[in-house]
This record gives sequence, structure tokens and C-alpha cells, in this order.
Amino acid sequence: MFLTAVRADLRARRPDTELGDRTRELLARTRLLLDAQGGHSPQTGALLQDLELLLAEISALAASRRSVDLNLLNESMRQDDLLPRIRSTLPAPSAGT
Amino acid sequence: MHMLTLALAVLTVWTASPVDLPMATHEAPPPAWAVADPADSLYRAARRALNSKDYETAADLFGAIVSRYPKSAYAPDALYWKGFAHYRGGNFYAAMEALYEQARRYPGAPTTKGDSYALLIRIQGELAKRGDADAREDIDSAASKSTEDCGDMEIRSAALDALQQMDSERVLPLLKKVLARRDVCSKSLRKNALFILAQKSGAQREDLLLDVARSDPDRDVRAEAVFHLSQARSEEAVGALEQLLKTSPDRAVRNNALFALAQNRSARSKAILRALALSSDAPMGLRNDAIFHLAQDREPESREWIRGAYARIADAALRKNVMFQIASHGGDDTEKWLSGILVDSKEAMELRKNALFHLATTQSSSSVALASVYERVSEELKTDVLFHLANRSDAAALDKLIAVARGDGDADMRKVALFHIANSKDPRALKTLEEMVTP
Repeated sequence: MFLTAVRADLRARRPDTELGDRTRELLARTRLLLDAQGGHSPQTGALLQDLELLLAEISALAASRRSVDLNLLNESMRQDDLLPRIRSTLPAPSAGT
Repeated sequence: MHMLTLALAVLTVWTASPVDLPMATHEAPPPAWAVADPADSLYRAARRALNSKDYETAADLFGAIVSRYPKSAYAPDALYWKGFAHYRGGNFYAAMEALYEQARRYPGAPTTKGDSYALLIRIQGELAKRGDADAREDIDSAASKSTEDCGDMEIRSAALDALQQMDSERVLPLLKKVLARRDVCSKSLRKNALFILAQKSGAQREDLLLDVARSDPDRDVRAEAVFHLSQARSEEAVGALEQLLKTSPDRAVRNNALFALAQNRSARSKAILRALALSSDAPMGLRNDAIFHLAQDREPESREWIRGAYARIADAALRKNVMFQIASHGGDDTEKWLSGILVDSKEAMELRKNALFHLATTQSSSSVALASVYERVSEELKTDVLFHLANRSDAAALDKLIAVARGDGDADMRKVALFHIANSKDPRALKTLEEMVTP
């Protein structure tokens, strides 16, 4: 539902405060993960860094709603293959999670 | 890593079909941006350099936007991105300077103002770790505000994180105060405080997590506290989860605690689950879930225990579930156990029929085992055994049907067997019928 709302808001050009708030929350959490004790593998560290930049871009886009920022965001996602990398890093979903 | 799962949820929006995003393809850009901005190409080049991890070039290009086109609509954000590029490049003082310049020259920058403050705190945290006294002071000041009002929670979260990085002892009292907050606006801050707390060690951690799981007004925050307890993997955490399982008034918390204990796999957590499964005072749903988790353990001792638990449980519905879980194990011992239930005249008829169903439908069970119980059960069950044998297509099943049709002492059973034989497409069935009609 959240995802559908995001698309609908973008189409309708409604100010999407929820997307901005949610993205900033995720950005804050990604930074906590980056700093988490115990460290990560180099791959996870690199993934988190890319995620940090992407979330910063989405956060900025949520406020600016500039098409240039949207196009640049699409470009960077294609360039970094971020989603396949997240999927290969995440554990398989299990019950209760 | 479940936080990454959350991130994934948001990212899925953008990556499901990047070319199909509405602003990009279906609509013209907003009017204000349709007018060519002289800094447009510089901005694109700078962002591309940032995405390519060429941080120095990115910082130079963002800086050039501000110096060449200070009135460009891109200029305020350019200083934020310049700061971001320097931060990524490890030039923390230059990064801080860019963010200060943004605040000074473009105090109303609408798009990246909040993001700039959060980034500034993060950079100051890095500097404080390196011994910068001013940065340390700023972090202290920002972190102390985390216990107050409803200001920008991401900034406060960044300050707590920075304080944790530079002086982990001093952050604990602040975390306690943050976690004691009950206002709706501090929900994300409380969740992040839990995350920071979970990085720490010591009994206080479990005490605090337990307290939040019990008393935080928000369900998500309570669930996250249980999650962190499950990750702690300490004796104290298992004890806290047990308390939640037994006493929490929130059913979701109890479910989460049960799941966390099931994942723990220690002898103690297994004992807690076993006690719950047998406890007639516990809610039926939790007992069912406990049985499910216990049945996932395929060790011989665990399989033996769960078969023994069947006899110790009085509730028929729960016994049905235990039987289902045992039947899913398959194997000779399961077949033998189900046969035992089936022929036990003291057992409730419904459960005996249930045992027959599992014996007949479990993939690994044999027709020989099914046929062998025929003589040992009552007439009502004999009819069912013949029905299940008829549903099997192997020779042993047909052999039994033929044997019953030819020689069972009960005429009704012979009729039932003949009915099933008549419906069989096996040539031996037809031959049997011919022999019986024309002996």
C-alpha cells in the first residue's frame, strides 16, 4: 500500500511527506548499520555506502520533485545494480521476520 | 540485517520498473524546471561524478555551480552535495565548511536543509572521534536534545550514534531517557535508540530491552525490542524472552518472543517451548505455535519427545495438531506410531480416523502397513481402511482388497471390497470379479 501511495502521489504531484520521512528514517538507520560494532564484510560495507547515497538522493528528490533528479536517480540505480546486490546480501525470508 | 529489508521495501518502488516512473516518462517536468537553468549540465555532471565515486571531481563541480551560478536553483542543493562528496572522500573539514556555507548563504534551502543537518552531525561525529573538541561539544549538545520535544528525529538519532561512537558509556543514560519517552513523534528515535542499545553489552541492555518490549506504547517499537533480544543470544536475553512469552499482555509480543526463542535453539529455550506446549493454562494458539517449532527439530530425542507429548495433552484439537506435525516427519517410526493410535480402542474415534488418514496419505507410508492394520480395527474403521487402500494403485493394496473380498468373515466388508475392486482398472481386478462370478 505504501508503494502504491508513493506512485499515486508522484503522479498526482501531491507533496509526498511520507516518502521523505520514511526515506530519512531509512537513511538514519543505514548510517547506524554503517557504524555498527562488529563490522561488516567489505561487500556489505560497500553496499551500505551505496545505499546511503541512494537514500540521500531519494530524500532530496522527495523534497525537490525535479525530473532531473529523478532521471539521475534512475541512472545511478542502473549503474550500481543495487537491488540485486541487496537481494544477494539479505538472508532468505523466513517466518516471523 | 532486517533493517536492510526495510530499505529494500522502499527501494523496490524505484527499481521495479525504473523507466516507468511517472515523472520521468508520463508527464512534463514541473514548469519551474522546464526553463533551462544555466547550471543544469554542471549539476548533472557533478551528480554523475558522485555516483561514480569520483568524489574530488564531484566536489569541484558542485562548488563550480555555486561560484559560477550562485542564483541557479541548483546552487543551494549543490552545497549539500559538495559536502556529501567531501564526506565520502574523507575530507571532513571541507565537508563541514560546505554545509556551513549552505546554511549561511541559503538558509532557506528547502530541499536538503534537514538532510544537511543530519550529515553535519555525522561529520562532526567523525571529527570528534579524531579528537576535535569543538565537534565533541556540538555532538554533546545535539545528543542532549534527544530527550526533548519533537524536533528533527534523524538529527537526534545521528547525534546519539555519534556519541555512542565517541564515548559509549555516556550514551547509556541518554538512551534510557529516550526509551522512556512516550510521545508519538519520538517513535523513530526510540527505534534507533534500541538499535544503538543493542550494540552494547551488559545486563542493563537486556533489562532495558525487556522494559521497552513490555511497556512501550508503540507495537513496532515493542516488536523491535523483542527482535534485539533475540539477536542478543545471552542467557539474560533468553530469560527476558521467557518473561515476555509468559506475561506480556500483548499477543504480538508473545508471538515474537516465541519465534525468537524457537530461533535460539539452546537447550533452555527448547525447554521453555516444551513447557509452554504442555501448559494447559497457555493460550491455544501459542501452544500450537510452540508445537510447530518443536516439530521442526528432527533430532531423534526431539521426535521422541513430541510423540510423548501427544499422550500428555488432553485437548483434542491440539492433539490433532501434534499428530499432524508428527505425521509430517514420515519414516518407519512415524508409521508405527500412527498405526498404534489407529488400533488403540481407548483413543477417540476422530483421532483414530485422523491417524488413518495420515497413515494412508503420508507419502512414505506403505500399503503393506495400511493393510496390516485392517484386522486390528473396528468395522467402522475397516470400511475406511478399504477406502484408502482403494485409492492406492499398487499391487499390495489390490491384493488386500481381493483377500477381503474373497475371504473376510463379514459379508458387508466383502461387499465393500468388491465395490472397490469393481472400480479398479487393474486387469487382476477384472479377473478376480470373473472368478468370483463364475467359480
